Amino acid sequence: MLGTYLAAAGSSVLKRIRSAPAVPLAQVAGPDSPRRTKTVTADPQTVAEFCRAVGEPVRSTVPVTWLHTQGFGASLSLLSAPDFPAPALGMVHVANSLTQLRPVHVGDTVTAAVWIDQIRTHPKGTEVVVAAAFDVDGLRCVDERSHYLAKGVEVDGATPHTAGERTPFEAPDATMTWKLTPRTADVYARVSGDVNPIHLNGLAAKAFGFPGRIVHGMYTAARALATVQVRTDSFSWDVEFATPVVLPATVSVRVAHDGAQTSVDVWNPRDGRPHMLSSVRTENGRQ
Amino acid sequence: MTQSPQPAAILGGNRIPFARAHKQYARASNQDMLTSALDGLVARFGLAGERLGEVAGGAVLKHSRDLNLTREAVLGSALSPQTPAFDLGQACATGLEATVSIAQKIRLGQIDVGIGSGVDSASDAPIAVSEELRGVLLELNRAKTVAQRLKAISRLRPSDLAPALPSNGEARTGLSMGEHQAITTAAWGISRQDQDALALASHQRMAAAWERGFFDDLVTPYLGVSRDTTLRADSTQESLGALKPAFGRGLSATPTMTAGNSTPLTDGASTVLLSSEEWAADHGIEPLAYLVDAEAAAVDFVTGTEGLLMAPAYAVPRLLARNGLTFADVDVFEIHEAFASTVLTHMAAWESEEFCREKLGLDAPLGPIDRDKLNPNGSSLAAGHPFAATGGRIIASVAKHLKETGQRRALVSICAAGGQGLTAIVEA
Repeated sequence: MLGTYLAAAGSSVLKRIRSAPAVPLAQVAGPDSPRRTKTVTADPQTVAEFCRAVGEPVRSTVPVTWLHTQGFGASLSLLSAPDFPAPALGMVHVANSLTQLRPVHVGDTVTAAVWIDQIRTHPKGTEVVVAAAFDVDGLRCVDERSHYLAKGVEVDGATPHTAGERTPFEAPDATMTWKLTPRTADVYARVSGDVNPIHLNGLAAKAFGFPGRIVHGMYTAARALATVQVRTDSFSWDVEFATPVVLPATVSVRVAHDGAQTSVDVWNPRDGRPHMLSSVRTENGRQ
Repeated sequence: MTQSPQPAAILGGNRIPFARAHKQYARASNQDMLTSALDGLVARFGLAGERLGEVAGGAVLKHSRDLNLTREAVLGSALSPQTPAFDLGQACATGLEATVSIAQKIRLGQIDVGIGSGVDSASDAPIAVSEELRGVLLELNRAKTVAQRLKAISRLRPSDLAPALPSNGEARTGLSMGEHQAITTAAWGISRQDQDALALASHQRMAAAWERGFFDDLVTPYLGVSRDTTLRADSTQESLGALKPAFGRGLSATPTMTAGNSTPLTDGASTVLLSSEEWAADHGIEPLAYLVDAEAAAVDFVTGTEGLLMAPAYAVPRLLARNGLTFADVDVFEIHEAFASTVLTHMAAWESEEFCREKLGLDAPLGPIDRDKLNPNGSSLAAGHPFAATGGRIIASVAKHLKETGQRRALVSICAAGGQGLTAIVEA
């Protein structure tokens, strides 16, 4: 994965100097764009290590957040391909949504297919939507869309899109508090394979404009999902990332049930600004 | 089991005075304190060398080596080494659950006599290695090749060597018990003044009980301590009112919970002797009271649906209903003062028509509790609260109180971490 990041860094630098070769966007994004596939067996020990790191119980089913990590490398290499029209490094994960149709079990052989679903305009630059589909024995288990923002980058031919307003947030009273340390990011990097230097190295984080190391957004999201304790076979899950969590940090959390929906919001208790807003929806409302 | 249950008599109890953490008992272990409390009970009732049916006990802050804490304490005591023992745990309800367990065994005729006990040291607390270091050590243990060992060691960082201290945070929320209760306190609008008044009454009543010798046959001095050290007979509404808020400072409501109306971290141990009526008669001991029934409850606090310490509010009506009782049938209410506001929120809940209807499914509220009947000899705000030792303190004290006053029935209620609560009925 570090190699992928280095390649991404190299291609990103090149793209800053010289634009990516002009290829029709339909060849890069959309239903007919190239797919990267990866087949992986959900090793019980590996999945268990991931579960311990994000607070999921070690069970015979595989958390969707582990599946995300298995598609992540492929999405990074797609974003840093030479003909991809925006630099991968510096892109910000702004949202993630997925639907689980049926659970993946440990021991299952999972086929992950990853492609660029859409490149669209965003008020602050360009938004890239990466799709990932996870199948077991030809049956679709999980469909995922990860949204990345390339700030200040304009791509010719990007699909016009009016971004929805950010969900307004006013900090409520917390029902939980999480203490996150640099070790949190070390451990998540180890179990997820996401070794982006902004999470692991203070200097690198500063180089990208952060005050210090920031925790992986998907760590915060995975922990939030673990908190909800979804126990239905199918559910959908939406995450909106706001400000990054600079480590170390103590963040405030509120879990709230509303019928079939459970929301988990995470914010900075000092200034009340949200880090992440998320919600899980199940069919019958019983998590 | 063919015969109907026989009464489980409470014969008496013994505890060591409770001491503020990191003071007089700082160098005593859970096992030391529990053994001393047991030995005091043995001396008081002439049980040296006796083989008892069983001793139950536990601790909340427990070292991993203390898997057989109660049995080890029995072995170190003057009881017959042939006395079996078992450990159990239900957070702050551990001591009461231990006592209830012994009572149920007696009721079923499985044993004639037994001891319910509990102990906790907030001073001699277990310290663990960090999760990362633990992970590396276990990985090293599993490693078979040099490469695997090096890979495991390479994960280690200097910060991993910092020890992990026990946390008072709830496992699933990370919030301390005080912060949880602050949310409940705010939701119920419990005032600072009411909390301070309840704390003051606790200190005054416990000081008066000590003065009149009420605890003379319930407590054995330990390590030079002969009275609960957190007890402040000179507390006033003004001195309590001057304290700064300790919990709930991050909430939107004005914080009301202080060190004065919250229990301090405390060290201590307690024991309760229970038996069948026959065993008591054979040993020439007159029972103080009987442990009649118990009911546990739990609430969903993780999602914020209910307050962490609200479970007793649900257990009490179920316990009363099963026994065909109402508040009017209860002479004494012993409600553990984890925080003054816990007691006050429970009482407010039982007075609330909405809560009793919506949450408890009752036609009418349980009603108010006469403050004169509440914790007549003080409770945890004055005595302190060595978690697992509180149940034994309350049961022995309330049994003696019933005997002394000639009153008929007491309701005991203890809230516990994990959103749990245990309640019991003690009758003369």
